[in-house]
Amino acid sequence: MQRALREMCRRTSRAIPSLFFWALFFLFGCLYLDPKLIHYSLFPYWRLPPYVPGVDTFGILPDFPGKAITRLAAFLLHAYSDSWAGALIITATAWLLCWGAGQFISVMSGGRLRILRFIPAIVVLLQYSRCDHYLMENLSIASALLLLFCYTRAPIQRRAYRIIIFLSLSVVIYYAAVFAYLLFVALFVIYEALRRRDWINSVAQLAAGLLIPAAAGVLIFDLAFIEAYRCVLPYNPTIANTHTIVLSIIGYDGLVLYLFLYAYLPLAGLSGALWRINRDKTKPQPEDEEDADQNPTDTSQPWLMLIAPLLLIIVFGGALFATDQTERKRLRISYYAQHEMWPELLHEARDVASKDVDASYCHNVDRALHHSGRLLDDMFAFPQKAGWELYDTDMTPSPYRPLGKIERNTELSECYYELGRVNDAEHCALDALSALQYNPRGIMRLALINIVKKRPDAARTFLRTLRKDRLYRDEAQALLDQLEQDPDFTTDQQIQQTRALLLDDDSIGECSLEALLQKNKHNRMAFEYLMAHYLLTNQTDAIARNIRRLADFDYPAIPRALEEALVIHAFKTNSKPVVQGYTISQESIAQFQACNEIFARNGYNPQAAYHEFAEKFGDSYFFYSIYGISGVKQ
Amino acid sequence: MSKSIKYLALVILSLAALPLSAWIYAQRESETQSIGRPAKIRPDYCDVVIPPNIAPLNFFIEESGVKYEVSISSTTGDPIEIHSRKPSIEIPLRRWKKLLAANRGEKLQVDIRVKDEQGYWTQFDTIENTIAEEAIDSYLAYRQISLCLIWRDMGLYQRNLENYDESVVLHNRSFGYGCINCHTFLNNDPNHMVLQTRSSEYGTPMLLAENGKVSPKHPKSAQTSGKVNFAAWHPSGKLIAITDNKYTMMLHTTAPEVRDVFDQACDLDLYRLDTEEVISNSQISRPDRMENFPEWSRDGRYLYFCSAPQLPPERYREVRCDLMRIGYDLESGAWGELETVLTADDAGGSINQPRFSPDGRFLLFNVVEYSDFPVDKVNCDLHMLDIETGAHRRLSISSERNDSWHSWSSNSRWIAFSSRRIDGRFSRPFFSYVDAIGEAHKPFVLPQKDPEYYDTLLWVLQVPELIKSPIPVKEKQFTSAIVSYKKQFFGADSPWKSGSSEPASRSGVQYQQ
Repeated sequence: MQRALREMCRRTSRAIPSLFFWALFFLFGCLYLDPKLIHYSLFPYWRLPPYVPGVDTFGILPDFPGKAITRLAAFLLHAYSDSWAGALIITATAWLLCWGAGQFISVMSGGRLRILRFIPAIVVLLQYSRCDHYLMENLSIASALLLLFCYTRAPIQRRAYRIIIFLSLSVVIYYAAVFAYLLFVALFVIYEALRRRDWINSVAQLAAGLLIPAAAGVLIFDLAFIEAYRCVLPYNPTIANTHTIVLSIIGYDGLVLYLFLYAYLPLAGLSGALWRINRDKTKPQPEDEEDADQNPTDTSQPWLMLIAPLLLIIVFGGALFATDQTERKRLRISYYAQHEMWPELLHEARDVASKDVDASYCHNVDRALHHSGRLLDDMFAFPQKAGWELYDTDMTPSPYRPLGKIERNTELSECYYELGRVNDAEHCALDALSALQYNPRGIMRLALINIVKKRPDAARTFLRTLRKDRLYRDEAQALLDQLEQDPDFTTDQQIQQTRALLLDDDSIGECSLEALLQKNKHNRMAFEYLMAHYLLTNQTDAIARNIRRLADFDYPAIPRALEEALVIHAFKTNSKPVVQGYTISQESIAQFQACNEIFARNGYNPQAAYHEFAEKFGDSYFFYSIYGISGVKQ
Repeated sequence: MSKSIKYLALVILSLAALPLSAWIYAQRESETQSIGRPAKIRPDYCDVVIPPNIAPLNFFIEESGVKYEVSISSTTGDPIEIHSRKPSIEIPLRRWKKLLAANRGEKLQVDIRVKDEQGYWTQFDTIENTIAEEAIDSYLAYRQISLCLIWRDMGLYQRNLENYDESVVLHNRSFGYGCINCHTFLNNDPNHMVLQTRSSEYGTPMLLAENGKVSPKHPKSAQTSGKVNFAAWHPSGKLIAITDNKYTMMLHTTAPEVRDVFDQACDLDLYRLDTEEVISNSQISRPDRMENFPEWSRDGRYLYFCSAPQLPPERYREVRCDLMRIGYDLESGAWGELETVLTADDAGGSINQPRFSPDGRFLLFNVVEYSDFPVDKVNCDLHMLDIETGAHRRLSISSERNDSWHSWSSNSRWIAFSSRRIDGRFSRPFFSYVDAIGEAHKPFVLPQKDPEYYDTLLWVLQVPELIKSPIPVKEKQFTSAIVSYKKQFFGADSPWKSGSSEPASRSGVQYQQ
């Protein structure tokens, strides 16, 4: 009894460091990696076939190698919407990988070198710190390790049986987790050759492993011969002819990490086996080797007490160091925009480096500034570029922006809706939905668009779809209930306000901001975006012409950027800036004079005056009008 | 009173209460209140004529309750009784088939009872449908696509109408996410099929699937680009009429339907399958007119088509197609005179998509306000022309929304068409019984195993073509033919080579229907 108790205490004390590590891993995942950022980026919807809650989208898909793990990954990825749930999945996946790797290394090295089992955890953290998910790939590898573990523990000695089991497991892994197929074969071959020293079986498994794709791919999935082999590759650069949506747009860093993890396991197994062989040569075989395999005691070694903190520093410090801050910022800005968290968005956008600024950034920042009532005051405190406020550019796909146009359409549809360009919003949202197949944010937008357009039946189809999504269930149900009571939403103030923005007369082509203002002179967003456009294109005369529209809104004073533009216009035309109902502040006039003085001091040479000008007026329209850039004031 | 007596009294009262409760419950169970109206169900399977070989019409009862009882009965055979705690009613396949087979030409009654939370039953009026004598062709080939231009998931599917089996004929992921265009069969026979596909990577093959073999065709001539949009089989199977359209998409600023399509040019040609020769004729490829939607008369002597003056894009609202025909002799290759069968003015709008009933008696077509592309219009009606009498009329089954892409069953008694009547946005396949005098009866949507299937389906199911049996060609064969076309015809100098498989979204882009 006492012995058992002692054994239990010993085991518990051994488990504590491990538990501590995984608890820390989970917290790091939850608080730092923040998986919800991945969920709310469009990436999950593109990388995997869509998981539509409540709809068997996978059932419709024809069978393809790896479908089971793909389906599981799509399902689990949906839970990333809650950071704690996402962190739990990431932790569980990393634990599975480490456990599987530990078991394999332990078997190969005779219970030693198990410290190497933590490498997959490091890789998983690095993957996520690069702001992408590798759930499908990691789960595939974990599945391969799990099957290998079962195989190594099976008390089967006869070679023929082992071959049969291998064949069966190969078909299972090809069917369920094809991404790890090659790895699976490699690990089995290494195990048979170096651990069991059964070279015949090893060669037989290698040969069988090479033939299985042809048999399984062609017979089960009806794939072409080449296709059956192509889909077992860990990285497939083209998706055109594959039956799976694979690592089509995986980032370069992610690819390296993924391939490292893929290659690591066989290498670790080989190292373990060689280490064991070398040890066997130099030392006599311990009598209780099997015990050593079962109960490795390496974690109780005193030197590990020193290694442990170092390991923690390497794991978490590495993840912190490797974090792609640019991408994290981008994801955060996108997340805040989706959730209309404008102050948080503007705070996040403050210190984005100029080189990382793109149309999406400008678009989101300007939208946030508008909703905060600061667009025409503070827009030049942030980097700006003409046309980008309304995303008047196609995003070139890149590792950071693989979804270019889809992302643009998703973000733009929301802005168009707010402007009153409901048809454009619908077109963009439909395009994004077509590409992503399931995009709850876009579906909600489409529901609202159809409500605005008095098409309650269409709105219902979108809302019923969303009702099955736990994140949108309540909102969708509330709108459905409202549709039942009032199909035209005649009492809904927000819908009525949006309807009031719509153009009366239909035409073909783009709906201009001027036309929107002509329809509804109180369309504040259209006014601000029109003024922003004039500012960004240096059309001070157009601003002077349209400044009378200020009276249609409740601005307490002339917004700063407009005021500065009017001062410049007055200077250019040698007139006095006059705005009915408003006065140009002395501060703006004084600042303009200060700007002139800076120029005068620098011999009217813009290049020479740049630094002083940027330091004092880098957030002003004065600066932008000369240099064409903004947001440079520190 | 002592404590024990109190307890005894309590026990006696409790024992007495039990049968009383049971009696009240039984009373409520037997007490059924008639409500004087049929239950609301979706899909709308009320007062419809159904084929004797159709899969069970599963439905969802839109009445709140805690228990649902459904009895489906007809003149002969045991009724099907379904008891459910959920409003989704799934009818057992075998018993349904047995009941329908035994009652061709008879009425099919559906009785619904719903029990509310208080335990009272409500009996709704009987829903009565009719089982037709004539069966519908067993299979439906249709295209499933998303709503817009980026077709990440587009496929040609086939569905067994006698159950719920569905399979992929060709999915666009197998050829670079290209577009799967219209599919056409010779006399509802899946052994003779043409299918157009297009992608930036593989070009624009017309795939001819005959008797289990697929070959890519490239009907190019001095007058034609080789790209086919619509096709119509000559009844002999020796000839296919093809069109070459230049559709562009335009966006409306505030109309109910965002997208619109304008045809910049369209001509008709004939493609001989034996010689692979493209036959052109100036009467059906006039530069000042658009000739579109070919259809052969059942005797093969006339080529019917839609024709409108070629107008500039800004006059897109004035595009109104007349129904024309021209004689053609297959043996001699001689052309007849061009005739106007029905003008757009007489039809009340632009005539599109004429389709002959297999018996040659009726011509079913669409009428839209304008355009030669009815799919994106808010409203599109089905019209029928009686070839014997020359009379034409709008079919009463036309909805206020878009009904298009119609086809006939081989016995001329059923039509299938895509309709947006459910929600105005997503097309679903509908069927309607057409009787001997050409009267179409209330249509019903393609039944699904899950009664709520269409409630959340964000895909469009369109171009429903009725066929007599499954398409006997594997997806791999189609893919191989597409790859083979690329090698044979799709040279490096092709303008498609530099194009994108993802069309742009602004006006003026190539539109693929």
